[in-house]
Amino acid sequence: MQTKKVKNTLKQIFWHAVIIATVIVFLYPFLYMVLTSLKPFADIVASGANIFPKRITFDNYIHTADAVPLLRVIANSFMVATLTMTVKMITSVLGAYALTFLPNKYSNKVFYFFIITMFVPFSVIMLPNYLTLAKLSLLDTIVGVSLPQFADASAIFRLRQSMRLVPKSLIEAARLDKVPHMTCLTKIVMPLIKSSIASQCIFMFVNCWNEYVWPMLILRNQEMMTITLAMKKFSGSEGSTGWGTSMALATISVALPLVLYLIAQKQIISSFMSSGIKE
Amino acid sequence: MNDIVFKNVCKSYDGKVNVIENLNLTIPAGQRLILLGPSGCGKSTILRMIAGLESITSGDLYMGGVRVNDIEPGDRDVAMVFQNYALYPHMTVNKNIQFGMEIAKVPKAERDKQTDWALEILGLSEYKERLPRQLSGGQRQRVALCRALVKKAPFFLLDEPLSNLDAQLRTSARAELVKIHEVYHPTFIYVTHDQIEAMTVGQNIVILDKSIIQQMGTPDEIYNKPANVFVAKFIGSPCMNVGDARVADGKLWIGEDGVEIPDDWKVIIGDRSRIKFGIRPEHIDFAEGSGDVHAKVTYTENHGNKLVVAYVSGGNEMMACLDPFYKLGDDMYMNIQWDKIHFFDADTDKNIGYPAR
Amino acid sequence: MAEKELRKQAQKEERAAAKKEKKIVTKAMRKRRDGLLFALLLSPAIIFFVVFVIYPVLYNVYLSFHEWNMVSPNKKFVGIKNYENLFKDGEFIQSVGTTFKYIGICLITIFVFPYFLSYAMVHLIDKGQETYRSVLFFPSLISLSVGAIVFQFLFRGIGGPINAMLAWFGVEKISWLNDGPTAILVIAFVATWKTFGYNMLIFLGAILEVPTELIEAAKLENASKWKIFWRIVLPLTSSTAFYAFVITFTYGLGQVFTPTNILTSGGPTNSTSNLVYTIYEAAFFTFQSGRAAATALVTLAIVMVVVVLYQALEKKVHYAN
Repeated sequence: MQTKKVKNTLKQIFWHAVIIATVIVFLYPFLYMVLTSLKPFADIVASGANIFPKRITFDNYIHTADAVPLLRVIANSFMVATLTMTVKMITSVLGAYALTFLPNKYSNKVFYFFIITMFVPFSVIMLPNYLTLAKLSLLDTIVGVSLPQFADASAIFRLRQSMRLVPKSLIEAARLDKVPHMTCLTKIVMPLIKSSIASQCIFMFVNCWNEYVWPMLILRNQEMMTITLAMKKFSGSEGSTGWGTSMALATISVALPLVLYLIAQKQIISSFMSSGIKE
Repeated sequence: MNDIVFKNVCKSYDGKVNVIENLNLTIPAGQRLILLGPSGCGKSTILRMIAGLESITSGDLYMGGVRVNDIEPGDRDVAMVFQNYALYPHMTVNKNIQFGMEIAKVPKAERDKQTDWALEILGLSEYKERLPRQLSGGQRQRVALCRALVKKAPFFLLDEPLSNLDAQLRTSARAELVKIHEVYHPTFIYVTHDQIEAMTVGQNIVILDKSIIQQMGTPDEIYNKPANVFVAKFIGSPCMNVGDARVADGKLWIGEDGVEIPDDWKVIIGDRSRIKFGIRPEHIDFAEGSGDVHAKVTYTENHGNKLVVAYVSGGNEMMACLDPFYKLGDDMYMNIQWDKIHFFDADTDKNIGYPAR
Repeated sequence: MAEKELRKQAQKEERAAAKKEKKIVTKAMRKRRDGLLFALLLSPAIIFFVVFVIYPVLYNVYLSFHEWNMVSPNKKFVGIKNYENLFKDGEFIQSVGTTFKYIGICLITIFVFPYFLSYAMVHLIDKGQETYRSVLFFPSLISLSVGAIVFQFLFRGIGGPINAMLAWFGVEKISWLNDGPTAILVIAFVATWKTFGYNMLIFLGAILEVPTELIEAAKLENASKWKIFWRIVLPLTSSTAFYAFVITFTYGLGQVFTPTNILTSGGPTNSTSNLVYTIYEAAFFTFQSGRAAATALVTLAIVMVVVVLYQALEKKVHYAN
C-alpha cells in the first residue's frame, strides 16, 4: 500500500519541520548575537531583520577592550567560577558519598532538609545574605560572591545519582579489607564516576560564569566586575553606538560556555535526563 | 485462507549484514505453530515481522493472501502477547483488556460483554478492577492473554509467553494456551526456546538455527524423524546421542565393535564409509556380559523415575535412560536396535532416511 | 620499691602489647564510626545551608517586624505594619498579579510546549532526537543576563529584527519594552529561552522511560499517536511532569528577575514589576528592609503552598509500575 508509506513519510517530514522551526527560533538570538558583533555599526541599524553581515569587521571586538577592562573582567569571572566550582564540588562529593554509602537513621531527614533548601527562592535569601556578608566585610570580594554558593542540594543529588550506579559489592569488598571510607571514595568511587564529576564541574563552572544577580549585589567596585556585570554596565545605556560592541562582549562571554558544552554535552545532558528526585 | 507466507524475505538492520536471509515459510491457517530455536536464532524477529513491528528489507510477506509489507501493525488484525506482558500499569485489568476495543470504537455494552467473557475463560473474573502491580506473574500473563483474546483476531502471536513463569505454573499455563486456541482457532504463532512447550503445545513446529529453518513438521515428525543433527540434539531431554561410526564389510563399526547391518538399512546407507548415528537415551538397550558394542560406564545419576547412565562407546560419550532399579554390572554392552536408530551423513549432518516400514 | 617499679614496667609492656595486637572492630563500633563520618562529611553542606538558607529565612521574619534602613544602628519594632502596608499597596498587588501573568505564560512555553515537543522527538520522528536535543539545550547554558541584553536588541523599537520581520507581514512597529503587556511578554520570552532546555530534558527522560512494549502493544490496537500520548505516555510520565511543574513554578518566580532588572527596571510605571523585583527594589533602592523581608516571606509562603500541595498530591498522581 504505497499511500500508507507516503502518508507516514509526510508525517515525519511535518514533525521534523516543527522541531526544526523550534530550533531556528531558539538559535536565532544566539546567531543574531554572533553575527551582529561582526557588523559595522551603520549596517546594524540598516539591516533590520537580515542578520547576515554584508561586510565583516572585528572593530567591535577591538572596542570591547576600550569599553570595559576586558582582561580584568574575564579574570574576575574566572576566579569566582573556579573558586565556587572547587568548593561546591568538594562539599557535594562528600555529601553525596555520605548519603549513598553511609546509610543512617538520619539519612532521610538530611535528604528532606536538602530538598527544602532547593525550594527556598533566591529572592528570599538575597537580602539577609547581603547583610551577613556586609557584617563579615566580604562585600566586593571574590570570596564574598562565592561563599553562599558553596553548597548546592541539586548538585548533591545529581552526584548521588551517579554514585548509586557504582555496584555496592565493590565497596563491600573493600570494606572487607578494612579500606577506610575516604580511600574508597578517592580510589574506587571517584574514578568510576569521573566523567560525571567532570561534567558536573563544567556545569557548575558555567553556571557561575553566567551568574548575574548575586555578583550585581555584592560587587559594586568597578575593578571587581564579572563579565556579566560588565555587559550590563556597557549595554544598559540607551545609547545606540555600543550595539555592535555589546554583541561582541556577549559573544565573548558565551564563548567559554560554548566550548565547555561541546566537550561535555553528552554527559551534561544525560545527567539532567534522569528526571526528578528519585530516592 | 488466513495463512501466512514468507517469500524470499530478507532483513538487515544496517544495510550490510542480513540477519534473516531468504526466508521461505508457509504457516497454515488455524494451527498452532511454534517457532523454536536457541537464543539469537531469529525467531522473535520473524514474529515481529508478522506483527509489523520490524520492517522487511526485501521479499514479500503475505497474510491471508494480502501483501502486508507496508501495512501498519494496527491494520494487520493481529493480537499479540508480549514476553513481559506489556500491561498498562496505570489501568485496571478491565481497562487494559478494553483498551483496544475502545480505540476501535466498540460500544460500551459490547466491550463489557467481551471482557467478561474473556475473564471467565481465564478464571480472572474477580480481578477485574485490580491494577497490574497487585497481580502475580501468572495472573498478569493471563490478563495479557485476555487482552489478546477479545480481539478475536485471525492471527494470534505469542513471544515467549511462559518464560517469566515458575516451572509449576508453566504446566497449567500450557494447557490454558491450548484451551484458548480451541475457542476460535486463530492462526497461533508461538515463539519459544523451550522444546517441551513446543512439543506439548504445537501442532506444527519450525526449528530455527541462525535464522535458517532446520525442519518444519509435527511434534511426532520432529521427534522421531529429525531432519539433521541439530534438530536431533535440540529435541529431547536428555538429547539424542549422536556419535561417529564407520561402515566396512557390511558392518557398522562403533570403535572396535562391529555389528552386521540389516539389508533394508544397507540400501539406505549406500556406499558411505563414515557415518553419524543417533539414538535416544530412552531407546538404548543395555545388556550385561555380552552385546553389540562395548559400553564403559563413567557415572550414573538416579533421578527417581529413571537411572541416567553416562558411558563411552567407541570413543563416543553417550547417555542412556534406564529403569531406576536397573542393576549395573562391570561389563556392560549396548545393543543396536535397528528400528530405533537414526543415521546422519557424516559431512552434511542431514538425516539419510529410513527403510520403508 | 623495686617491686613497684617492676610492676609498673610490666603494666606498661602489657599496654604496649595490647596496642600492637590487631584491633577488632565490633559492629557497634563500626556503626558509631560510620555515623561520625556521616556527620563529618555532610557537615560542610549542612553548615552552609543553615547559614545561607535557613538563617536568612528566620532573619527575614525578624526583619519583617521592624523598620530599618540597614545603615542606622536602630531597628524600630513595628509589629505587622509592614504586612499591612504591603497588602494595602496597589503597586504591590499589581506586581503579584504580574508575577502570576509571567508564570502563566511560562507554563505554556516551558511546560506544555516542551512536553509535546519531547513526545514528538521520541515518538513522532525516527531519528535525529539526540542532535535536536543537543542544539535545543544549548541556550540554557547562556547567561540569563546575556540573554536579556540580546533580546533587548532583538526587540528594539527601531532597527530591531523582530519589528523588521513584523513589517514583512504588514504589522505596525510595536514598542515592545515601552508597553506593559508586550514588555511582560519579552521578559517571559527571555526566561523561556533560558529554561526551556532543562524542562525539555526532564520530559525527554521521562518519556524515554515508558517501556517500548507498551507503545507497541497500543500500536497493534491501531491507536493513533495522539491516543498513545494521551492514554499511555501522559499518565505514565505524569509524576515527572508534576515535578517539572513545581520546579517551573518556583524557579520561574526567580528567573524573571534578571530580565526585569535589565530590560525594564520594573517599568513602565510598575507594569512589569514582579514579586522578586519588589523585594530587590525595597531592599536596595528604597532601603526599606522590613518591607523587603515581608515581601520575601509572602513569596516564600506562596512557594511553600505549592510545594506542600505537590507533596500531598504526589502520592495520588504517581502511578507505580
